[in-house]
Amino acid sequence: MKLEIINLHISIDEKEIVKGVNLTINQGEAHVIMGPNGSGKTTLAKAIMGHPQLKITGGDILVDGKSIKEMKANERAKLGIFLQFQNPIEVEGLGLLSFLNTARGAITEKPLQYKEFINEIKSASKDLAMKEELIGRSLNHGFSGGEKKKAEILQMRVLNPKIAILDEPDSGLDIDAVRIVAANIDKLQKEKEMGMLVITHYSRILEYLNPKFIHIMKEGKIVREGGRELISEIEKSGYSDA
Amino acid sequence: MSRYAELPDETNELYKKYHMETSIPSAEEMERNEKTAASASDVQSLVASIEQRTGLKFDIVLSRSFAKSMSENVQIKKTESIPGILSDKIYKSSDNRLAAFINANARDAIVAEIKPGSHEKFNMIFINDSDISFECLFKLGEGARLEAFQVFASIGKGSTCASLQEFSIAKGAHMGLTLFGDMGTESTLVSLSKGILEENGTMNANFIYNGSKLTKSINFFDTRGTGSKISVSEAIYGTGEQRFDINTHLLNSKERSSTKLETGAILDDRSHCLLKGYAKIEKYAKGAFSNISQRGILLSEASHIDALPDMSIDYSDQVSATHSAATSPIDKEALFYLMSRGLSDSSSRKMFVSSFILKYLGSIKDPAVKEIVSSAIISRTEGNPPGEMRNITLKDIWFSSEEGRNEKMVS
Repeated sequence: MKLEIINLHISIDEKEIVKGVNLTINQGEAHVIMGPNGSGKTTLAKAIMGHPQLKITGGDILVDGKSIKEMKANERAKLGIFLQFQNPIEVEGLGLLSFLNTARGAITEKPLQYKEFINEIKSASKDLAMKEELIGRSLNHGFSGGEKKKAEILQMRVLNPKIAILDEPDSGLDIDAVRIVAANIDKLQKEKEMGMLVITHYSRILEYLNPKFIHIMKEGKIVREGGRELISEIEKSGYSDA
Repeated sequence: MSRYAELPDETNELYKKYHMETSIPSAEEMERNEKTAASASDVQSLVASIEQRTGLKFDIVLSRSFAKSMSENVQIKKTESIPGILSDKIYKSSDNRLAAFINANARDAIVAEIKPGSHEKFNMIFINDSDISFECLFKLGEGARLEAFQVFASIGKGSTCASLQEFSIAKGAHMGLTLFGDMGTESTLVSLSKGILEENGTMNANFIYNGSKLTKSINFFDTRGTGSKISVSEAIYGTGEQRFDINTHLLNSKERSSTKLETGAILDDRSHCLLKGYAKIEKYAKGAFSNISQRGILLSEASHIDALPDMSIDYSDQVSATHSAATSPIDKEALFYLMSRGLSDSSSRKMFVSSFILKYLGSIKDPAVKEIVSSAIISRTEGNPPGEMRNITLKDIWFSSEEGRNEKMVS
């Protein structure tokens, strides 16, 4: 699967946030977008997923050469796109397990048998060092910030996307949790040959991942692109010189 | 002035303003409805059909044309043989026309007496087969426990049904009540309940209003004994032109008494709901706790909720009293989140609605009852009318155990 962002312009309430972004992610590639607060990273991520409140005023989003601009979020999910939310929504009363099983059924159209499904969830939660009682709770309800991020990665593993966009998977995590989450992301990306776009402010998580493509986003545009060397440069000089 | 006459229905100008008239049929309409009332066999066949679909067995069936009790603790008596039920001021003072309706249409009454220390569970069904009034009197002895599930169903679209219930909870006794209003779209449900809790008596009451053109509910619970506790959950789902006037009064009368009211309403189309929650902490109720929480979700621009959380605190020594109300449209960010996981717009809405309602079914202990009620509401979100309970296969039910684990029920 190939995801292409072509000269994308996005507005919210007539204000342009993303101002002509170009980006290509092939299956199996790991990309990183870094940039200061308010540069449009999350808007870009949500637009790729099909957020209905975001207006695409120019450019296109292609999957394997076909525009997905008019597709709803669920149709994009079925194509194999996954968005890990920066601030996952809490839905009290909706069991995480039943939600995930329904979501998996909707995407793969092959719901797992109960035992098989539970075993997969238990295995994923163990790998992520999640408390087992969390999987019996409502979706993200009462989860700490770190638990929510882990639950997002658990969802990603169960839904098995072809391209995943991870919006700050490291924010709100302690040092150990960053290492655990990063290890799980890295393993999934390699095993499943997932295309991946990681949005982050910090380089710590990138020590555990192995992205080949680094993009710096400022004021709605990608201003620099390169390899891992860009990370250390940003660490030293910050974004002001980027 | 009696204690009931002091309730806000009588004195509060807002309550007088926010009030839905009970559409009680005229004498001519009642006579006409009686002529077209369903037969006993129609009632029995409806009950059998619901039993088959849900897997439940009803211990008590009450309708105009047919009544039975399979429990030795429950007697069905002629209403006029139980003086006191109908004469209570809470019922008569609220609406004279309603009192006239009740007097004209009362036939059978249920008297359930649970012996001290014993544990019982009843499934009850009330069938609105023409204009009818039901009365129920529950007396729980010391330390007794009762779980009662009550379904209000109708044959066809239904007519008017009035239910008057009184719960007397003795020292240390506990009652769990789930009242499920699932009558047809042309029916009116008037539900009046009164609970008196003695020392350390507890009650969890769940009221789910799903059906009927008009639902008018007046509930009054008095924690008359030290350390007694009442917890009320109300779940409302309205579509079309449905109207709900839900009025619940809680009274903290004694030390360390606890009262709690949680109401959740989801409305679509042009439906309208009045949520009136009133709690009063009386003098010398030291250490009392009271909480009222009202939450509404509007699925359409024309749907409407008026929430009136209200408290009167006559005593402030070590008392905790809080109330809140919030109404909002459906959370678009939550819908986007669910859709990003592959669920369609309609599936996401259904999931959101059912999860919202489920929060208010949380204190129903019996997972089968919880599933029956939640399935009926989910069926409504799929566009089906009320009163069409879906087939339930208990072995397919997933539920959260008390330990917080998700488990599957094995039939």
